[in-house]
Amino acid sequence: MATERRCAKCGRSLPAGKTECAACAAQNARPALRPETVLFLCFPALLCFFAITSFAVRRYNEKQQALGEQWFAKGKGALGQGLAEQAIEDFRTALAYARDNSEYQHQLALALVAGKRPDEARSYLLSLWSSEPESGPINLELGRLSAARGEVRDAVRYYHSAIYGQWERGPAQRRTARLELYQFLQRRGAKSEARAELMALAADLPPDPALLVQAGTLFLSAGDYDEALQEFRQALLLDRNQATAQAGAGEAAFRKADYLEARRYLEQAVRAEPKNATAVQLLETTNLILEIDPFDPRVTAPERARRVVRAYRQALARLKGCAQERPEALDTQEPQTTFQTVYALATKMQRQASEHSLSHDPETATALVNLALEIEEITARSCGAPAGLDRALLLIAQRRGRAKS
Amino acid sequence: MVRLAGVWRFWRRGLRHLSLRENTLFLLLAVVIGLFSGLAVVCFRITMEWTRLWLLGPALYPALPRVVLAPLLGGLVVAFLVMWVFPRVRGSGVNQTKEAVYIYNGYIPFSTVIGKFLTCSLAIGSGQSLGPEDPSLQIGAGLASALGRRMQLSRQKVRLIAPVGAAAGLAAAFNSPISAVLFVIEEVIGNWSAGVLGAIVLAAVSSVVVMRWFLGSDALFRIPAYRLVHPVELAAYAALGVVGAIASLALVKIVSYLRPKLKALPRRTQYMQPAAAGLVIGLIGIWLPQVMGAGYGTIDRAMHGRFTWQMLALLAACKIVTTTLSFVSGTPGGMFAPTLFVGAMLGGAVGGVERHFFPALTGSVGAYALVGMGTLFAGFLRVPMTSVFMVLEISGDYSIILPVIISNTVAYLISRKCQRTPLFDLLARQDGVDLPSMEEEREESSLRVEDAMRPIPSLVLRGEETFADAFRRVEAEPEQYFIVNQGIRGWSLVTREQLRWQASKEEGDSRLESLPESTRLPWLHPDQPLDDALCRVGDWPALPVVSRADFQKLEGIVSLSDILSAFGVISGKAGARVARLGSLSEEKGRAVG
Repeated sequence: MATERRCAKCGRSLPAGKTECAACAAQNARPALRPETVLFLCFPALLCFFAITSFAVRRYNEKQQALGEQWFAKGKGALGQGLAEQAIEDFRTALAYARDNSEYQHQLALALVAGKRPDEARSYLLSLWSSEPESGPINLELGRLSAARGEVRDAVRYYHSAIYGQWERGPAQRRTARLELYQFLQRRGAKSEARAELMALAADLPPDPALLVQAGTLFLSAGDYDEALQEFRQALLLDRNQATAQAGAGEAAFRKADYLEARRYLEQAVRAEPKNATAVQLLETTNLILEIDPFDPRVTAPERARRVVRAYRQALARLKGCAQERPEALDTQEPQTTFQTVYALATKMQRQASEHSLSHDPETATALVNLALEIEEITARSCGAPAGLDRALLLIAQRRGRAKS
Repeated sequence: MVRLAGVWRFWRRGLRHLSLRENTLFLLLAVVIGLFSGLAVVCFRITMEWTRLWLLGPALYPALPRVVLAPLLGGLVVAFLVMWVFPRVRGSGVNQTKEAVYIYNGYIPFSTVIGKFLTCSLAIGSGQSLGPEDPSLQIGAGLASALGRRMQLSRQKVRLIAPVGAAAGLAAAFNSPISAVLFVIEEVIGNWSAGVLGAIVLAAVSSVVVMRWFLGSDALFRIPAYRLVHPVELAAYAALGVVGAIASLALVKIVSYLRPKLKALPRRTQYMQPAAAGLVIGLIGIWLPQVMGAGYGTIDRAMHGRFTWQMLALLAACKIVTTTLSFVSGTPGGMFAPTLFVGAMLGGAVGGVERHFFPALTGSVGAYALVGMGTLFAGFLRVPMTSVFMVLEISGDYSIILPVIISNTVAYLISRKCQRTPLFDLLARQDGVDLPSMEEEREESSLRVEDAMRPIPSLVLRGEETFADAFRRVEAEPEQYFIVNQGIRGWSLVTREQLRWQASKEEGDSRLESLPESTRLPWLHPDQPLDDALCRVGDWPALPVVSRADFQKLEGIVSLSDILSAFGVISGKAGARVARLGSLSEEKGRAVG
């Protein structure tokens, strides 16, 4: 069987009796161009090819961009409607057409967070962060993810980077970042770090009553009443009729045991918002305290005596009521319990509990009021927080205890 | 027109003035080839993307009718084109380029370039599970061949022009010049000669410049940051190397088993094979559309922890199936992208499993996926150096190098142990073509002079000796010729006859250093290739082997019979003939004296 013969040059099958194929023969028959000619012709050919490629690439890029925008818009719509999974797919498709678009990647990361896929979101955000380490939004998202994972150090680092990073609407977004950091630190029990962030937040606030009130509220919840009162006052300086600021200031003053000031603010708050239950209750308590406070330096001796007697009677009634709840018998020959002891003492001092005698005997008045206050503290521990006048007396007792310490 | 003529005259005068030698012309041509290849690959990529958009739609995951119909119909059209119009476009393109270099003197028809461009755009764009890199390699090689033939280069240069274009095409496809250069050297031409290396580098750089001009200079994948915390983690990557080797072997075995079976089917079935493969791929694509096409988007998502390790393993397995189907059915297209895909999925899966059982491991899934790509490249394609540099180039991150080297080396060694013949060589032999195996050539141990040389003779004469003294010394020796140490003037050869004749005459007191220049021997060094010794020994009975540090220090001698024995050529009668040849050389020495 004859073996198939092939052209040595191109490998095509050879006809019988030939040493090269027709194509190669035709090529050899053509006059060969000089190398210089060929090289010269390469340049216009390259230019043409370049032009064609430029046109094709431009059209391609336009198409890619249009598709990317189209899918991005769909994704934003889906995310806005809460369809996280749909948004994720749409953003991924958009990224397929615009791989390096950081906005698309960012939105995809947000969609992944919304879709409860924090690990994937973190991966995308870290890629973005490597190219934009000073981006405020990226650092903020990474801070949130780290906070959710309980990674305190990373969270603080990213939040700080967000706070001092680059933003479009800088101050507001920085405040948001710092606020979130504060709340995260509060939740983690890092009180001193949280306070430091809150102080920084407050120091950076613009003259905006709403923001000042917000800061004041945060200070209030953190137990920093002095700072809270300062923030509320500043807010009121800008807007006298800010009901929330009035209520907040009143509460802050109340917590500071500055009841006169508290009453001033709370009255304004209740006038502005009669349905503010907290303000109403605080005002009632404040009024009671101011009514019954026997240590008020402005009251006269007879008024003080009257208040002492009233306090004593109120405390005694409270004691009896609390003993009934427990239940515990108060009247015994030999007092054993605390209740029985103070009851015996109160009973012993009953004869001295008259306005007339007490107005001339300040020492007994003091002893009697101390006893009343002690009774209120003891009953509060045993029978729970009191209300009304008892509460007022308890607050007076606590203020007195803080003053002594 | 007049201006053009003026430019043309200026050009010719300029070239004549420069009087370009062929080597210089070759380098200049390499740059031009690089530019053309870069433009061609850019157009190829865009055509592929447009085809994908047109056939599969703009959604990330194609809708149901398209996902099945596109690869099916695309396969039909491709089969028709391959069978009737462009018969030489089958395969990935790597072996076809090697055939051009070693069989067809660098000839690749330009129609092959067109055919590869069209069929691969259609095949990959319609969802066939193949890659664009190998076709880009062949497109570049074809363009280079066309230009080289027109430039009236010597046969040797025309043969070498195809690898230059191949490197340019591959560099543009991967956007990685170093990997492309290394691949062409490792797999196509197998040597580092300065002339061809320079041209290859120039072409690769030119094409990458063009590619980056049009499509940007970003790395192929966005890689998450990586940091090796503890060296013990390298063991995890070694384990990945083992798994990668197993996957490589599986893929090679399946492809090499199925391909000849399908090729042996009646010719009429070959019209349907790509379509059948496309249909199966489409059906798989209904649930796993990620396995269709090249899959770069999926690799990117895998690196960002998009999939669970179970899903990654499933994708790897399905990609092996779909790529096998596409390739063995004769659909034109490349294996590089599927290799990267399988490697990334497998790497991510292994990384996921390891992190599950060893949570202390700090490497991310993306890092394992990246290393996995290189691992499959080393184990499946058997190009270890290329695989390391490819990972570095596409990631742009040098810190990954240690895990890459370890994993790639493990995979390569296991793959080589269990499958002696690399994939491309296997495919070539299935096609009845005996192409040189670069891996086998690398592994062959080359003989050196020290493998053939004999110990220093017992008697070495010195140039300061007189002929009479020398003759007295050699009287008791059995040899007929003797090496003379001429000091800084080198070495000479003198025969017994010469010594007797000189000693018997009045010149008996003259010294051996008066021997003529014609007796001077060329010398060798022990580490030189034995081929050099064969070239130099000529008719001399023996040559001195001297130290490189001091050419006056003799380390041995080597004769033609020693050389041929080392090559395993002579034995018995042949050895006797060589010995007679040696005696003829002695007579020559006497005649010279």
